[in-house]
Amino acid sequence: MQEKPLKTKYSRAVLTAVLFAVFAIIFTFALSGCSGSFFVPGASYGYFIWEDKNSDIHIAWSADKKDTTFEGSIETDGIIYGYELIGFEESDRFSIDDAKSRIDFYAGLSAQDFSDKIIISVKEHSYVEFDLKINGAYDLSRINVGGFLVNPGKEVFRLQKDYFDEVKSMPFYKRHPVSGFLSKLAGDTGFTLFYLFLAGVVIIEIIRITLLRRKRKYNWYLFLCYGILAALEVVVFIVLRNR
Amino acid sequence: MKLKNFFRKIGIIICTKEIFEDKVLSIRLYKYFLIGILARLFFMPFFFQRDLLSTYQRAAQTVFEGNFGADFQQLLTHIIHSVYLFLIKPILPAVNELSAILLNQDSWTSWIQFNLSEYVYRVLFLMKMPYLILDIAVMFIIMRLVYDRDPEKRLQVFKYWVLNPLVIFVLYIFARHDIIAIFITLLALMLAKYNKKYWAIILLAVGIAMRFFPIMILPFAIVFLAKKRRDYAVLFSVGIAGLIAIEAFSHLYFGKSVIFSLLNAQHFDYILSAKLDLIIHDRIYLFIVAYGLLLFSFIHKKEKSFMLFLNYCAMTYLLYVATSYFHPQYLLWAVPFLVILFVRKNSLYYYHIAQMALLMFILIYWGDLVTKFLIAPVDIKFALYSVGPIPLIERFYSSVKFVNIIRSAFTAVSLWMIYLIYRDSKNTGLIDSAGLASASAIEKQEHKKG
Repeated sequence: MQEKPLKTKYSRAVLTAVLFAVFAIIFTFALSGCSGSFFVPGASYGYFIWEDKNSDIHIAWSADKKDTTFEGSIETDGIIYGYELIGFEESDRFSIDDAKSRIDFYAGLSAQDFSDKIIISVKEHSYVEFDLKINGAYDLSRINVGGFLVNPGKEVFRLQKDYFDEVKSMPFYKRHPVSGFLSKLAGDTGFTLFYLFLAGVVIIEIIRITLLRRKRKYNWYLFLCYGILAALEVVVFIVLRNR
Repeated sequence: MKLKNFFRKIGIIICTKEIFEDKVLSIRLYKYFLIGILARLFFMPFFFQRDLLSTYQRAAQTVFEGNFGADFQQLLTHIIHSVYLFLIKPILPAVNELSAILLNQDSWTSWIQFNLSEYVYRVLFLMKMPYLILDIAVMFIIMRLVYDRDPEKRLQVFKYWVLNPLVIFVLYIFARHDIIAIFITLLALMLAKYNKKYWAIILLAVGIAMRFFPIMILPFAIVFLAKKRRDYAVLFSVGIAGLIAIEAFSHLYFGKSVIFSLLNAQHFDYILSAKLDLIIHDRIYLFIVAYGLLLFSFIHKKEKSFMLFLNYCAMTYLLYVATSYFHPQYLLWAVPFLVILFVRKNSLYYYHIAQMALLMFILIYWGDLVTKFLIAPVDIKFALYSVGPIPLIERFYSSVKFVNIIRSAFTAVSLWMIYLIYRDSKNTGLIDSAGLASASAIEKQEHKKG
């Protein structure tokens, strides 16, 4: 049986890699359900808070088609000069005080009602304070503020004026799931370096028997590959230690 | 010179004389092997399904608490895991912390503690190491099963196993231990190939004692190996000896029956899951009917070559997943037989890939535990709070209907594969274990056609 032409093999490999990457991206989005302001109403569960480009704050909530109540208050030291209610039904409650600095709400979601949202415009403020409950209890891991799994540390939490800009500038390695992945790699540096070495040797072997085998400067290239691996090990070691 | 000869012999033992002595083929084999190993390494430390932890939790009861009967239903598999855990105990990091997690009886909290552990990657890597070793052993056994005079085809068999996405998924993402019993079963088939009938059946019995599945091919093995009438009785007795031995041991040591507990377990009901209700209590179990038909068909084949026997093994396992409720790892039992067929019938490979793709949706049956929770070691918070596939589908359509539509498509693909293999089997009877049709047999067939 004849070997397939090199071009066909490479195009097939590229196609596989592209398909894999597309699948991985879709999978990550489907799993996260919220990246920044993204969530799937009726499938995602919890609060999703973000700021749009007009500096309006969106407070949305969604449940997985089960009867769920969302209640709480939003308070600020400034003025809530505008608001919009999206998806509120007659049974849902909303009130804003006379000073226009505090909002109270109570809303229910069900199999037919996937999601509700309040959009507020705030001015002259230094912070916005939230007190949010799901089914009458606090569940901080379900409150996503500015990004998926960027959760508040306290039950009643304050967002400073530049909070959303800080979250936006947060590097990818400090976001879930990469942050969780890296913290465990850093926690067991010995294994991480061993694993990297093992995978590196296998990759170099693949390169050696496919690309380098017939090269004139075979030994030089092989030495270079192992040099890169050693350098990579050192870099990873330094990065993980200083994390 | 001596050293060179020594390594040459090792090379021949590992990858057969024909492949080792052909530079092009040996490099290709090495390349497939390395790519396969790299794919396996990629998944080993980062993914697992809850059952892996349960397996080692039972082993931990034996190793750390001396409770030998922690898993008496799968005693041999349990012993293997216990011995392995005992051996790696000295190199396990933070062994006190890990043993506390493994001995924690609460399945939810122990799972969370395990995923939160700083050493989870290292421990998962070690836990899956026996599967990797046996997987590598299977790679080299499987290519020796057939195509004795055709190293190119053997190499393709090797490639189809090494790069098989289902193998990688079941062993390194799903992390189930079926490879242990598959290894034993393939050794038994290797012995069957060389007509070591008693040893083959004894080893198959060991496989049965480990996992339920080799029993499905036992009748085919007996029909294939029996040369005289007496052989049927002897081989059948040897075949069930494994179970009887386990049953006797279970009665003596634990004071209870392992066979009856297995028969009454949910797992045995799986093969009875597809049924045709007639009237009152009258019911026909579809798997048993179809299995019977396959067996009769094999019995009545005049030329029972080893290749034909392997074809029937493939059809049996495909029939099981096509008609019965099954867990994802059960599909792995068909793969050793299918990879041999892919070489002869490439279209089957594409149907197998379709099976694999459909299986990814069928996983949704079991919810978060076998879908998003697989990535829990990477980031447990992400796994816990991200949207699972069921709510995502439920948002637009009934998840039960959706999965069952996919399941039906999976059955259609599997049944079509059985048909293709059956059609192939009409000619396979003429093919010997070397994968070559004997000239006289072909002549006879052509004469008939003529």
